[in-house]
Amino acid sequence: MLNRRIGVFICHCGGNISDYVDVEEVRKSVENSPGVVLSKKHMFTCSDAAQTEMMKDVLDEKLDGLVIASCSPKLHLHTFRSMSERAGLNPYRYVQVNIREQCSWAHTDNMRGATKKAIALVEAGIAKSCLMPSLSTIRVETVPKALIIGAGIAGLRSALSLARLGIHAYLIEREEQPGGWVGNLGELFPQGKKGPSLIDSLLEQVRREEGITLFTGTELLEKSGNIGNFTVKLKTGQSDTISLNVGAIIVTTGFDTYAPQKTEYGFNDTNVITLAEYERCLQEGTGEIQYNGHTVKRVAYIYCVGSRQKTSESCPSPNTQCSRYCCTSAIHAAILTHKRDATVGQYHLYRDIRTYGKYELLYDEALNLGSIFLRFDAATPPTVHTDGQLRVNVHDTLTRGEEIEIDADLVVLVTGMVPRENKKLVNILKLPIGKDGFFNEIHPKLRPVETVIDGVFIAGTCQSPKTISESVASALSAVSKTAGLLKRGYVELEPLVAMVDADRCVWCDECTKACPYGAIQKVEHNGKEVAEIIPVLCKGEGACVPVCPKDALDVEGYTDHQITAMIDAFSKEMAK
Amino acid sequence: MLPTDISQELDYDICIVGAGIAGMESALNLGDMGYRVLLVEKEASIGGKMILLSKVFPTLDCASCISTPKMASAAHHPNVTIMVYSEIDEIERKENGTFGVQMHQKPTYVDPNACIGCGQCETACTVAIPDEFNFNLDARRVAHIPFPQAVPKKAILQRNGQSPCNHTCPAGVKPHGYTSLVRAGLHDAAFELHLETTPLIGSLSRACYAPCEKECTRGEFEGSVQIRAIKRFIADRYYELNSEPNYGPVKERKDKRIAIVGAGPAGLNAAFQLARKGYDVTIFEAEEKAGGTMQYGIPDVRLPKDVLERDIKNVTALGVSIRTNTKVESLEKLKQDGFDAVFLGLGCSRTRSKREESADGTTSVKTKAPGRVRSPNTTPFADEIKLAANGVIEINKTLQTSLPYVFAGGDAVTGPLTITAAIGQGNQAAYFIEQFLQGHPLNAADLKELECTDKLAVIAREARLSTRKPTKLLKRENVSKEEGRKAAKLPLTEEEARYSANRCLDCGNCSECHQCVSVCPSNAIDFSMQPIHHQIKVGSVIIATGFELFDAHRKPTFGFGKYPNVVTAMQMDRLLSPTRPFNSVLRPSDGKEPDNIAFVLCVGSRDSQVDHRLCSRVCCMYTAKQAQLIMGSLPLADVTIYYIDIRAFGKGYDEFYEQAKGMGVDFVHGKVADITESSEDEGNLVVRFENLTEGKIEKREHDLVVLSVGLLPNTSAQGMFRGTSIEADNFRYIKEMDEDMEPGVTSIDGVFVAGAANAARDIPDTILHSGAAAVQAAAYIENLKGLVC
Amino acid sequence: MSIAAKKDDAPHILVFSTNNISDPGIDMAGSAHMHYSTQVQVISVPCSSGIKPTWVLHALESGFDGVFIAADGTDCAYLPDCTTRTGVLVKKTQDLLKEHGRSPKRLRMAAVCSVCSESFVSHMANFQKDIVKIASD
Repeated sequence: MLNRRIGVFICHCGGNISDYVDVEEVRKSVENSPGVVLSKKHMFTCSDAAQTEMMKDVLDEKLDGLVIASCSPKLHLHTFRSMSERAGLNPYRYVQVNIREQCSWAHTDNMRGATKKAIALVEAGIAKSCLMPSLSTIRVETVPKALIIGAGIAGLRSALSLARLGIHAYLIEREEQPGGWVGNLGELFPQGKKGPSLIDSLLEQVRREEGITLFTGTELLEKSGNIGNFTVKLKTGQSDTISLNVGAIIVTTGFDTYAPQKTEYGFNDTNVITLAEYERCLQEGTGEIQYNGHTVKRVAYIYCVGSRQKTSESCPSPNTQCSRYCCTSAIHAAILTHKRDATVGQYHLYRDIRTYGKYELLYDEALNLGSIFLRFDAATPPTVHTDGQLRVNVHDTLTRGEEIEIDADLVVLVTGMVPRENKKLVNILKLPIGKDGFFNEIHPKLRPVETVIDGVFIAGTCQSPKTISESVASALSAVSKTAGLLKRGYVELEPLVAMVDADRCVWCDECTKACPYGAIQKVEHNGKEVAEIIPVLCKGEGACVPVCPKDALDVEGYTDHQITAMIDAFSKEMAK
Repeated sequence: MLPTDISQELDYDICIVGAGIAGMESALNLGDMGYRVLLVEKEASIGGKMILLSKVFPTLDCASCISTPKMASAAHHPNVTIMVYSEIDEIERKENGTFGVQMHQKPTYVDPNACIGCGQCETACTVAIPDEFNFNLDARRVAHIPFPQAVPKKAILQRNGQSPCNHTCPAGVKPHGYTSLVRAGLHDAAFELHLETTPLIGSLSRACYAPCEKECTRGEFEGSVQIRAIKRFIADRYYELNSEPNYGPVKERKDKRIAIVGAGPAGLNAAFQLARKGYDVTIFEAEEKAGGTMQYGIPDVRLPKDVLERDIKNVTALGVSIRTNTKVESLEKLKQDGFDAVFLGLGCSRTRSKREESADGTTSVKTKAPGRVRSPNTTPFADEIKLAANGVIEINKTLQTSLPYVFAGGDAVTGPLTITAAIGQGNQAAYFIEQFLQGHPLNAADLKELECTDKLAVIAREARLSTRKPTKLLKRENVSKEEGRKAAKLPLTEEEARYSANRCLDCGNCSECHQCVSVCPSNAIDFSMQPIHHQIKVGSVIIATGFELFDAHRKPTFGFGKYPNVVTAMQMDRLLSPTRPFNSVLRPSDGKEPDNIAFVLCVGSRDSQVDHRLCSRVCCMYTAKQAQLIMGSLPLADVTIYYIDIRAFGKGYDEFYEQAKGMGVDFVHGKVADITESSEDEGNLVVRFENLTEGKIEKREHDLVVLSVGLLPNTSAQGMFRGTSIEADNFRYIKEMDEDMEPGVTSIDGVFVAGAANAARDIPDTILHSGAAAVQAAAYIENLKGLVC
Repeated sequence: MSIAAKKDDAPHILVFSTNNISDPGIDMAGSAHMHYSTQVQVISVPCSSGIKPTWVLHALESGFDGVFIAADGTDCAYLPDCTTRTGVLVKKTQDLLKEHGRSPKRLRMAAVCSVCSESFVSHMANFQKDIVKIASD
């Protein structure tokens, strides 16, 4: 029945296997198994000598499948796959069987049992190899262009980097004016650069760069296609639309600032303002600080407004995140204040001072310049009294909870970053959103700019609160991933993907619901609607397989047929 | 005029220094973009510090589970080449913007192509040293695989120079090796190891002047290891059990014949080594008995002749024939007789000692002082080979005389020489004779061994170990008069020998006991490995050398190093890790599971006393993580964290902190002043702190204290650049020239920095920074390529 | 290590491990020379969410006494909700087993991470012990 020519090679591993497994017995046992034409032993299958011999055997015996029984595939899977390729054998028709870590080494006290088990494992490997077709890596040609959504600091910086790597950047911005938040900021920490000049300089470079096309007043309407080759439709101006082909999409849509409620810390009072407003005020004029027609001599800062919130009646859906940049920003504002007018009394009401890393030195500086820090517990926040003299009451834990009252000319609420709502975009791109409302990356630790949608990246503050330099690093990291995808002109993906038996499929939609990658689409086949896998998007984990009521799905290399054959091979040995 | 495609000239596009998470991430990104990357790592495995962690915040992913795929991808990426156990010597920026990198691969003493990662060498190795991957919580073997998930999974022998005793022995004997074997109870193996170098074991154990004992680092403490006595134990024991050698002539014969003139230590040794290789060896000895100085120059009291005879059997058992009473006077005649090579181990003529017995046979008196040397016995050969004025034979560095087939060693070459040194010359001569007979060029550098261990470093390391007590030296007492003659010293008993051997400090780590060699199934151990130097041309460089941990010894008020139950957070992370040294979190002093653990934050950070004002960014989070893990693995334990500010600023971090609070971790807002040992409960510690909430000084007792140490810059990269130095910032990190807009760009155009080498960072920030550095490097390369006139 | 585990008549267990997570953990048990029964056979698949209930049934009908799913748990690189999905599969399988007159206790699932070698070995010992009890129920 089987017209296969499989070669089996069993490794001694210098005694590591052969001391505990009767390698000769294994070799003999499988010699005449269906499909096997060659069964040999080697001292070290991974050695150059053995590989040369195996390659020769592939050629001489015209082998069309290979089973190597040695150590864990973690060690040599790639080595032996390359070796197979060099010998002219399809690398996916080579199967690795682990009879060391998962046999000889774990059963050093039972040679009979270990040998039996090894035989069963090799038989299963042979069964699997018999049913392996020839496969090639899936090659996707990529378009060397990218779409960047949002022309704030992250978007502008990404565009420049992409262009310098030879990838054309289409940079789109919803507003008429690009530059995002930074364009409106004053002196930035820690280097003291000015926001607008930073943006201006970037914009100038962007405009000069041939490899960047900037669209302002533009939104994304539609997206289709897959990694390496998306078609995006943009709406520019009132009614014009453009269709573009891009290989990847970087989302840099930024954040929103927290808007305190009117009743929060007396925010309805004109002298209770946000940090952003205070910073703008600091940019204007010189000498004594003026706000709302009066001189400012006493400033009280209240930290963590709109961040690190807990659920309560007044706050049913709290912003639990720390906004990261605000402690440093507020302290920096205090330093700038002191530089303008050293007589201003400044009071910082905080929960934790999060001037991490080098920013700690700014904290030192603010302290040395005379800022006073009072700490409050989240359970007893400060209260702002706007009747008559503006004053703030706080239970200062640094003085054993003593209640301190501060008269202030200005109360500055240090507000954090909140996720920016963008329902339309989320829908079009199917962007995943995390618990905190910011866009969700695939893995918060190791893959902070990638999403589950291949080819769509997130960078800057739309992923989580960040400082400017962190946003830039994030943006460049997204560029790195984009370039990795697009620079070579193609990507090669593993062919061990899912496949649909169209004859069995009745299009019940269960598989599409189970797939988190959008890798299944509906197509027509012989007059009926069936599911079809988009190989380029499929990760091959098989979540769709068990949900199919008609058993119409399989994953290449782990098919129903193969797994069943492996189980049968085990049970045949068990029965002996 | 620049080449049109500069990349043709380059060996690699980018060289990345450091294969921790930053280096690997940059490498993978650049590899994906199609650039050829060389990733250089100074440890034996890639992975950096991350692979050593237990779990990571805030997801509590297992650190191994998420790093091993990155490590595997880096190792298998077609565009990434990894060189482990390698260091950069110098980097030079060329005018055309490319870089010349000089680096070397340190010898691992294991052939990576042959090693199959089975770990048998580790099981057989006889030397245990503190395990730096477990931050000295436990020990590991010198031959080892760094850790279970190492990439590449290959063994290495971590040598720290050659132990002073091994280094100084003129004979090439490895005293550290056999001492280590005796320590391990492998006495037969000890004998066999010694036999590899010389058959004259018994004789040396009586007559060697023991330069090794003088060099022994233990001598700086209570007294050197009694190496010669240990040798005597080995020899006597073996000879007691084996009156004859248990081998015969070697089976595989070589068809060359060698004549050895003089059966003294040099000649006997040369004969032994050559016979072992399968050569046909004949020794011509003018005197009546073989042995040379050992026979005629050393009194029986000191070197009993039966011991010497047994030693000589080691040689003759190989089929070496010793023709006594035969004087050789012509080298030409030897050649005509069919000898292909000759070794002259002639010695010097000596006056023989005579003992005159008294009439009643009870005493004896020496008539003449023995061993007075006269002159080398070289006169017969004066017209055949070149001699110096005083009659000694002239030789080159490879012990060859003016007649190519004649080699020489011993007294006749150097003038009066010790037996030990003569043995050494015999060994060297045997090596060069073999090279000569095989037609290979003679190269003195072949026999160069590793440089000696830095004794001062060993002394410093040992001096810090607080638990070492002075040991008593064992001396022989009550030697009777009868015994007194035969042997001034009695041999050590087995117990004493093992005790003595246990005093060895393992200066060079590897003892050269060769147990690993004997068990390795693929013959992968190779002591002859030398550093391999490379000159590599690359387009750009990324520094990703990571960080150093603050050394908690620098805060003596916290008691680290003084009190066993004060540990660092890195040690705690190891205790919690799945590849941990012990089965559970145990406290060092008594192995008890702690139930009242304290963490002290900001150790070495935000601290002007140690000149480090910066915040290390990760400690608050890793402490909260460890607290959560402890509450999981020791559910009854109380965990207290003493902090100044909790810096949980990243995505999901504050929520993680709240979660720790919810689990019952007691966060105490307080600055710790000092830690002392409890006077009541042994091993417990008393933490004295300023309770900032209560506004008073308090003391609390804990049974284990963890110091959350901060991150410091790794300044190793800063001296790497020739002719220029890379600019460091005020905190000694590598400086970014425009940290806002150009992450990763350093003061040297074309050199970039990624990760913690630039500033303390956590893992997600490092990934972002490394991606950015990769893009900067890529842009630089593109620019280079575009430089066409 | 239980004595029963050493005997060749101990229950046969089929383990489904996952390529990136639990299989390395089982490898590590071997590297550390931890011992478990030779009656344990392992098939590695990409993700535990892709295991078909019919495979489990087939195994039990072919002579295996128990099936163990060494799941990815929260370490799964493919699916953030892998644990939930695998849980659903396990329930489905247990129902299938009951339909075919097999004890649902012959299927067990636990998360085994890439360094969980000790936990894997103890799972095997415990599972074998428990299977013997099923037979005698």
